Amino acid sequence: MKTDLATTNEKSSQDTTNSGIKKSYPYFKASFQFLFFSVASLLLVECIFYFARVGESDHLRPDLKLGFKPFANKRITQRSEGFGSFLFNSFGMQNNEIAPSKQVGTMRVAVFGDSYVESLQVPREQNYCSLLALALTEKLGRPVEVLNFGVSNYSIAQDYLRYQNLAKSFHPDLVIVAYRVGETEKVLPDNRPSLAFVRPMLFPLEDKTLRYDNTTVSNFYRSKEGKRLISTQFLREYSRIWSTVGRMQQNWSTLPTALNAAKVAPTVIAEESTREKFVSCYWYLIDALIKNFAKECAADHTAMLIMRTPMVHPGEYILSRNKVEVEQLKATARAANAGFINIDESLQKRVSNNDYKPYFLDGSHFSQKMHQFVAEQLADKIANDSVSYSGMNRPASDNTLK
Amino acid sequence: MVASLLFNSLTYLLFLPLVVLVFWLLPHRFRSTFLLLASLYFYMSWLPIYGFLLVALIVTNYFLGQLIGSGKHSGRYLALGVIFNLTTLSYYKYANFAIESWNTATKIISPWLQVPTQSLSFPLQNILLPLGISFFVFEFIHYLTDVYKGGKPIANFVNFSLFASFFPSQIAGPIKRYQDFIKQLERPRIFSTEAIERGLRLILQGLFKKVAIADNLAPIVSAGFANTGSLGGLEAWIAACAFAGQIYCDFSGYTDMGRGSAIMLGFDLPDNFNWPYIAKNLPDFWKRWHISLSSWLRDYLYIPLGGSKCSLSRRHSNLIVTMLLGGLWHGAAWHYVVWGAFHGIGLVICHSYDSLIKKDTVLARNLTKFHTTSGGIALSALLTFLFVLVGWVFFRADTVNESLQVLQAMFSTQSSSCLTEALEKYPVAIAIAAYVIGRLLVDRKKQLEALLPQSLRASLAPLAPARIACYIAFFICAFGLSPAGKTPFIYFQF
Repeated sequence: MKTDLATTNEKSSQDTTNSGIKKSYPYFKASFQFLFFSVASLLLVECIFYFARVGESDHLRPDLKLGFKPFANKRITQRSEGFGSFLFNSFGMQNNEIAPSKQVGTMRVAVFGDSYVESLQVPREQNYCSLLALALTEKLGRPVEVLNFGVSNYSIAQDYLRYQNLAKSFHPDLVIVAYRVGETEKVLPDNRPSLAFVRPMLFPLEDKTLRYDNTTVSNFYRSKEGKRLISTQFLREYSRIWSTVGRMQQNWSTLPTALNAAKVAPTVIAEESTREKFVSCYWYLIDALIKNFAKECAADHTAMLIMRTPMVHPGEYILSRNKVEVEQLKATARAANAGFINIDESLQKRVSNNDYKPYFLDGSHFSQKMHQFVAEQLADKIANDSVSYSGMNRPASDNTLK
Repeated sequence: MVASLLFNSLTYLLFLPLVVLVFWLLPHRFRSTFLLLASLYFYMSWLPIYGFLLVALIVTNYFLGQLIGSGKHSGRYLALGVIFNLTTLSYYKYANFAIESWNTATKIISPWLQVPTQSLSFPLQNILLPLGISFFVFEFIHYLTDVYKGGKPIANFVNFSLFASFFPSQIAGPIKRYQDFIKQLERPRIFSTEAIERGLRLILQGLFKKVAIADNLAPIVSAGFANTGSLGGLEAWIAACAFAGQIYCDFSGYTDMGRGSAIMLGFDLPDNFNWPYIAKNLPDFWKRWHISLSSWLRDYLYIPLGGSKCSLSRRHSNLIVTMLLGGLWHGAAWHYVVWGAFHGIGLVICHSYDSLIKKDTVLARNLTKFHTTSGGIALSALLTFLFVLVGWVFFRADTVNESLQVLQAMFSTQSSSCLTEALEKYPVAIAIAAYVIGRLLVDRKKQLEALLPQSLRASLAPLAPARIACYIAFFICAFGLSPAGKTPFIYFQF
């Protein structure tokens, strides 16, 4: 009996000791472990993402002059529309590595525009810049390099600034400016709190020169979102997890919309006549930009070609049209002594029954077929008009001077 | 209509913790009512009007159960109940299938009858299949039948309603047995953090299977089955294998998430899968694949038809009929019927083979011996998998003709490029590797710990905060590997 009691006492004292241990929770050990396991598991996930090429879609970084620009030497993989995985070169171009100085006899074409030029939706060798280089080399019988200066969401003002800051040093013989529907909106101030809409303005003065105005840019980088983007630039550049968490955040931000799906107004596509009025109203901005851009190119002995590219509404495959815009663009190109090509019109001639689906991807960017088509059209135009482009008529020896 | 509360949606990530929290905070007597309301909200979030259909079915079956339980004319009430449930299911699921089949038939018979086709054909109806109807109708039939066989009907209306509408198993099962569920519902439940963590682990595991593996396989499968006419040999095999992986990860992922959610609320739902692709033969496969459905078909179709306690030919025809109807249950289309018949024939062959090797002959003895060797087991598993794979082709293709094209392509030596982009774009291999690594780390925890020195073992045994860090990392991994856009669960359409 005594033995039993003693055993019971021993057990109860053991229980007290155990509960005593339980009560004093090992905070230090827990904190250490939390840190260790967090770092280890995040590193493991980072490795998995590296091999899976996940979290590599963030490709724009803040820039106080241009608003934003692509990261240099960063691998970009995008899967939202088509598929593309690319290493941006050391200049932050969607291009293979290239030296600014060029070989004697080589012709260089610099293409400016937004995501339609940047072409993250198809393999690099299948975008129209690469295809144009091949086609022109064959047609002109001399080496042709086509440099892709396209950046998602860039306006013509940003294209011009990128020409001044970067493209000039590559001594292009011809500059192609891709113009698509919606360019007019992009040269006006945009206050949306997102990196993709931070654009400086170039306003025409009375003497037709342009005045650089970075109010929108500096306001954005003074805002909470702007500061966050600057302070997290390292993580955005190197961490795939960070990029993934960003995507997660975006999904969370759509949650109230998802919960109130019925209350969300359907997307309104502005009517053609409204867009025409809008373009007429603000055309003086585009006009001044193109004229100044062309003037500077001419001063650099570089020719300019304005290209009107087609665009469809996402998922609908209906061409976005604006007759006023096309006429205005033609007139501006003529006045700026630049060439003009209307790919939109050529596509309409090519396609029967308005079946544009094979030419565009789900989100309205160009499919491989469209890239092929644009390259063919451009190659024909450049080869036929080459005599009218002053830059291209320079003697070969002149290239070495640049 | 608000956004549907799919298990893989962000809204569900808000809904579940909220329900779990309120459920455990409430006194025991209110919990069932609260769960019922939450389950109805869950169902109505998809299409509110169909909530009334669910309620109507619950009320009717509840009273039918009481009438059967009272013992008077129970046979008639059972027949009425079964007919009522099957009619409801048939209207929503098979009405258009029947009309379409009839209209096709009229094209053949109208010239023979010398009547215009239009006068014999019917227009298709605009019917939207209510989510989960195939599952809860089967649960009702099981309930009524078991009550008829002497089981005690559920007296409490709330409990009965909850049995039918319990949200973790509402849309795609597992098909519950009321005896188990009510027992769990009536027993006092105690909150335990271990159960919450176990549930969370299952949810994460299911989420990973669904969003990181199944959803990455889905575009590869779609690309393959959208181009059945131009598939090369290798592509056809890849598409078929990808679908085998997709349907397993999709459905078992859903089940894991449902079971995990139930565990967090103190319930245990039956498991639906047990490594089906390593099954030794076809009967073994059906003991491992969609277990709750195959056991339902066995108990409420195969056995009532006579099961195996009848002549050999009758037994075989019972098997084929059961599988044929099982195929039709999956969807109102001929390719599902063919899939069911294919499995039925397979089961007949397996049973015949089984009878053959049980005979006392030299060949039978040698075959039995061979099947116990590792080579024999591997060969059986491989043949079973190949059979199942061919079956999946019938299941996935839109028509029988397309499935025959895929099967034909599987034997061709040509190649095509229709899967190239999808294979390059979606990181399936990495997702599978990540899942295997994750499972190994969890399943082989003890063996891995044994590799560490004794001194480190204690300090590295993860406490709750460390485990939470790992779960967060696992969630990020699943989310990161998932393709953009939400793919609905395959079994939702059934």
